[in-house]
Amino acid sequence: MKWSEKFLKTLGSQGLAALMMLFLLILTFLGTLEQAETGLYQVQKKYFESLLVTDVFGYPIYLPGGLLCMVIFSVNLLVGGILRLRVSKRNLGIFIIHVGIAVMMAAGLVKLVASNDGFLTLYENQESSEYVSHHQWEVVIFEIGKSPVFEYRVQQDRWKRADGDVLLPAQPGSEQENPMGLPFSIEISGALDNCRPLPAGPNWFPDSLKIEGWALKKLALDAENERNIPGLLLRMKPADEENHPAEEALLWGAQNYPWTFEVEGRSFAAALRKIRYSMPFSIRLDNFEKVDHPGIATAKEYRSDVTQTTGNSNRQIRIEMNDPLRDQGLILFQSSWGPSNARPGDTLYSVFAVVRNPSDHWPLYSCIVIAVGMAIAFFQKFLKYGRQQASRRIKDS
Amino acid sequence: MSETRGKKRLNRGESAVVGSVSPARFKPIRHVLFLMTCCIALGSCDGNSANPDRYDDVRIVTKSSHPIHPGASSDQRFGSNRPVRPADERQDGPQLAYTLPDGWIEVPLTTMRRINVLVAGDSATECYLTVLPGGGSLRANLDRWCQQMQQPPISDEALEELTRTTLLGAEAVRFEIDGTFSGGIQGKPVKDARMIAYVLPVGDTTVFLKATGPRTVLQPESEALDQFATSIHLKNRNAPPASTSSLRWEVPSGWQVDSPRPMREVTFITGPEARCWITLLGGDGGGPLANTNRWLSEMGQDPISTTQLAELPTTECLGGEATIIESTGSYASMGSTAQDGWALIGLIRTLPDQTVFIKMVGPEAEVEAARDSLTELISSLEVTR
Amino acid sequence: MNIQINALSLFLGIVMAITVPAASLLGQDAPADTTGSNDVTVPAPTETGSEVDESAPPVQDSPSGDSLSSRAPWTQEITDAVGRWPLQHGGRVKPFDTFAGFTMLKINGRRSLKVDGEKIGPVAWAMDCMLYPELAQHYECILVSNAEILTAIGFDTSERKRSARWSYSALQPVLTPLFTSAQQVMEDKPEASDWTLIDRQTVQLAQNIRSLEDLFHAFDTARFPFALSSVEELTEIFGESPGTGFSSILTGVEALEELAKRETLLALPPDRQSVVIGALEQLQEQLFRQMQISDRGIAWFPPEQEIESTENLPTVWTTASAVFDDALAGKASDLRVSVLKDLESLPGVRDERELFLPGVVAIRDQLLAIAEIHGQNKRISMEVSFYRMDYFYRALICFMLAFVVASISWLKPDSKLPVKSTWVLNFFGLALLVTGVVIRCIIQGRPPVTTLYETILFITACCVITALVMEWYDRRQIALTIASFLGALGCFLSMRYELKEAVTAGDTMPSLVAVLDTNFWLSTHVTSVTLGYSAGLLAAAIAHIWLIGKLLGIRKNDPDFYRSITRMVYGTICFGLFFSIVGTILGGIWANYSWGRFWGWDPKENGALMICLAELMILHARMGGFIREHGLHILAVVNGMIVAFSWWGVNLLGVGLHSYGFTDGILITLLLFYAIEGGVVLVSLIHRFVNLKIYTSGGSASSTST
Repeated sequence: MKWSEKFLKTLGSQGLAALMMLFLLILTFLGTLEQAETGLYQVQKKYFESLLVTDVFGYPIYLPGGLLCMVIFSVNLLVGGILRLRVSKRNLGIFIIHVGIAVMMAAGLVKLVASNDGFLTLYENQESSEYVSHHQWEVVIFEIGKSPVFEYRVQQDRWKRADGDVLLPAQPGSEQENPMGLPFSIEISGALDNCRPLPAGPNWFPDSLKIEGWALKKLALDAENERNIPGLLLRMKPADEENHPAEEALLWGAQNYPWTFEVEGRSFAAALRKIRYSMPFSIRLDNFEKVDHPGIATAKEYRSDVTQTTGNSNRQIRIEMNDPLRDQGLILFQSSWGPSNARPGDTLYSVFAVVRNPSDHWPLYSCIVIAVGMAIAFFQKFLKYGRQQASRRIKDS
Repeated sequence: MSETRGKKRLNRGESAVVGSVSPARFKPIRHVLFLMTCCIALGSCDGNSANPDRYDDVRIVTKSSHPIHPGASSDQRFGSNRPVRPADERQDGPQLAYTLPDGWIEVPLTTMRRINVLVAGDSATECYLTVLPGGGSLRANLDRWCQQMQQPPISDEALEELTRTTLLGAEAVRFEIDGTFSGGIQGKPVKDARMIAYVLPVGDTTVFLKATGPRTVLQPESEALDQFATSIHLKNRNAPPASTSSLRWEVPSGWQVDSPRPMREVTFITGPEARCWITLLGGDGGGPLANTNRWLSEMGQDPISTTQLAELPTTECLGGEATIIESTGSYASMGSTAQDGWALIGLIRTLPDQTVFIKMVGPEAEVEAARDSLTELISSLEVTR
Repeated sequence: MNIQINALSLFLGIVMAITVPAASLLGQDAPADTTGSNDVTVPAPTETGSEVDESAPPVQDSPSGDSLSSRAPWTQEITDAVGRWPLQHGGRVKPFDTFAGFTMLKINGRRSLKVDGEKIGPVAWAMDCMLYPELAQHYECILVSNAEILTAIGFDTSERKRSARWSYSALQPVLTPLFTSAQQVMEDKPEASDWTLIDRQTVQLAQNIRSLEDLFHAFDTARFPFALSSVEELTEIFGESPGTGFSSILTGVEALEELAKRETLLALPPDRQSVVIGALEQLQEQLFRQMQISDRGIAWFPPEQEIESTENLPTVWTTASAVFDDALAGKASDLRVSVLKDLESLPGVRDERELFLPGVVAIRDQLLAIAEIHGQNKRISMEVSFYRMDYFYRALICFMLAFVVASISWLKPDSKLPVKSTWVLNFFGLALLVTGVVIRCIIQGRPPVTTLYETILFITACCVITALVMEWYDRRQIALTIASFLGALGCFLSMRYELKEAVTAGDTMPSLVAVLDTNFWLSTHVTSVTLGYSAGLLAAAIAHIWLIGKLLGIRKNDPDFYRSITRMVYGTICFGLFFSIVGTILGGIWANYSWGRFWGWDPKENGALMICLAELMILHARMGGFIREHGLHILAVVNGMIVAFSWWGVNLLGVGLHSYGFTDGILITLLLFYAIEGGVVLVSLIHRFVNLKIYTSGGSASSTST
């Protein structure tokens, strides 16, 4: 009993809260400074989504990672700020604040688990029903020349974990999802986060595997994550190993064509690409408009008129800055346009940010709750302070 | 312990607000349970629930978005000969349409190859169409090909006797040769190969259609190849440049042709302010209703419904009925000031694969005066193929 | 540009249509040739304006010749009237007064100039540039802040100070190399973040000189005599002395069109045909040239007709060339043509002040009348009087006086008068500051904070208000003194920074980029976050009194004094935390509703988060008993440093969505601030270790139940 009491007390203490805030403060500060150098995406991974930070600007300094801090902070909040707090008239405000912050943390948790996002680029009169992840990659394997196409997908975190190797056995066919199945197993290895395929030659002797004279050259991570293009080695072992030897190929994120191979008379293709997400509707860009401020090259507003097609029904919608399209759990935002070097009169394309986030509105609710809580708490204090000072002045005079 | 500490704090007057815990209400087991749930919840968010033996998922799409090149080598997959991206296509010249023989496979276009297919779907073959400025003399090309096939140059008489076939609707020279092919991108010579090439000079450019591959594959496909060559024709683009426009018209008397504008086939100056222009869009160009309502909104009028659209008058145009939209009011198109007392006459004629829009706007009097000329223009319209 | 060429080609097209067939003696219409006149390449005025335009005309001397060495001073009435001319610049409609003020501030570094013992303001200076370019090019009004810019391109500057004002004529020999090197910088380093200080200053100087040249050339067309009497056919239309400018052509435009018609020309005697066509061609060439020059001029002219559009399109004002073009095309342009005529008559009467005054007044009234069609006239005089009033400078004086008086009150604690006058002066200062901020809001139609410059004003006002409210309860003159100090400091910084924004943006009320164009979020998120900043800074400022007081041993025997400071700091932090948290979350919500991401670890977001975390940490550490009074004050100062980082520091990092632009010079100020604050914290901590008693005595008695 005693130890658990002590443990809980520590877990819910204000000291732990202050300590976690201090760590988060330091992490945020360092993360902000390092952004200029290593880029937002890397910093985010290193400081804010990590359990442990092992180097700061190249120096071996150890700090708890942002994720760890936030988990402890959340537990501390639940235990100390909500569960163990005895609610009274005096600290009602404080309690409400803590509930509000818990709602916000929950929103973050739900977003972490259940959301995805990407972008969708359309020229006028183009139509699409899928969006592309900003940063996450996947290996996809599908049979050529079939319709519909069944895309077997493995995501990046699978090969980033577990020493990088992923082994997937042949997939037996079943009724709906994969009627034909895959008659071979695959093995992913040697994944690189940023690389370029180069023909091995007199100036470059790669120690990594060469296939048809090509090998992947590892490159340093770029600060702009968009410029990091991964590569890996894909090994395909047919189920019928006796008659058909295994085949290997390099996959690269920006390859011209997928790798194709034949097993049991069927042709397959394997590609490495940014994760594609299907939308339950398709979007066709009817008209894109960019309006500049008069006389200067600053965009005043830009907007897209789109046709959304769900099944057989169409509807025309305008998507503009601060006014997205929300439907069926997806939100499409007017994000940008391009090409950025376009001259007046050039055809422009419109870029939408697409987000699926079940906790979309939660931050707003939490903000209201927190504001109410703080208003109550601080107003109480302010009134008390005012009374004190008034009585003091009466005493003084 | 907690009590004394609590007291100490109270002495310092600090924990008046938060932190005092009543031991009587403290139920550790409940809290421990709650904590464990929290930990599990938090732990599971990052944990991978996926089966290690399974793919993450199977996504079903109607069409793959990847360019497929069966049997592509690493050179092709990683080299600099990149397939044409949709964005580049938009800026290119006219696109080609054709009927693909059974069993043949389309492979992605490259910057040079405007058509790129595999004969009989065999990845040892190549068949592509290129358009080169200049392009050299027929003799020079034939000599180069003979060399590629490791054969001596053909004689002048043989050159004269070469057969002619239709390519892009014109007479092209057809040349066929067997030998050991050494000019492929694979780099390896193909023994017992055949090359069939079509040459068609067009203006100051030359169109080449060239098929190579093992003779055993090409021989039975020879006829299919000729049919394929015949089937190749120019496809109309959304906004073809005026020179390649598939519409013809006669300029009505009193009208002047204005400088070319993007998206417009032609613009006429029909009065001091009035203008008339023809736009040709692929498909339905957004649909008659959407365009009608856009025009009406430019004139400051309310949009109409589909039924109202169907009731609008029509006129004979390009061998069919064109819807006439007439409106008067204050004309304000994107970016310009509103012009009061203007009129608009618009025609929409939907063709099988494209839509013709004719629009005249200007001050009412000018538009009215140009009405007859507009009729003249409409009757003079014809499609050229 | 587009519209203009079309209508122009209408007129010129007629000329071309006849000249071509007449020359080749072909009888057929050649409509395709009408496009030929469009082939003339018109150099687009670039954003930076620093492209080297070889063909830029030299400053034209007036017909009266070089003999002119001075001019009669502009009267107050004239500058007042011209100051109220509306124009569109930088994406918004503003009075000439503002335009001239910021152009002068940008080029000259301040809003006044001494010429031959006469002190001239922005409007007079700009009028000199436009109407007396031959005089103004000798004005030493080009501030070269770093002589290295000039020495780098081989110009001897040894006779002047490092930072000196030069005249246009003195710099003339180096203009070409200067523009070349500026262009080189921009071509070599497309990212402005790669520029060195010299690069930046070179580009800036080149742009400033371009702006000055644009002023010199603003009335070129008005001074230009078109060849309207070269042949007798033209003299018949335009008379012997046709005058200058576009309006001279407009007097006989119909007859000119008639003359340019094919039939008319063919009807001429054969020997006249080529002569007349030659004259028309010459005229056409001159027109093209002048329209190009005029294109770069000032957009004086609002559209004449009301724009009804559901698309919320901006109203685009045009330069003289567009008016001429519309008039030529027969579009409604009577109102503008009348203004154009008046404008073009100004250079002719520039030395006759009694004729000049009614001219400029008429132009002002007509332009405002046209602007009224679009409802764009209302804020013109408000803006003029806003800049005339110089609210923030006057507020600065009030606050400085208040601070001086407050200091006296500390020396003579018993006297009531200094305290009362401090209150009064603070109120005056605050009233001026708030009025200024409110007028800015009305002019822009925006919430108070849209730019970095405005954050300074808003934060200053908030600090002063909060401090005064605290003083109302506390009555120890602590907050009162702080209020006047912060008020003065804020007003001073705002004036310094205004110069920076004048250089980078040319205005402190710039047009907003698309995503910021929403009053709802600007008024909630931005306002809350800035309020949070001001509370954090105020807390830090008050904490200084406690720390320095302890350090110097002031009022050793007055624990109540220190306790009351602690209460104020604690309360201010609570106040700040409220707005910081709400503002930060609102920012996230805004981002979520605009881009679909609540949090993106953008530097500015991180800065706001750091403030929230620091203040939360202070409160929890205080409530948990981990820090006492001294710790609270130390952390309050640290929190102030974090606020400074979030407010200014992150903009120096040069990454992220919230970076606003050039911020050199700010770094030095910021580092100075950090050095001082760091020093205060360090000295105070050391002092505590040496004299522990001072900090703990009374500690147990100190009440923190704030």
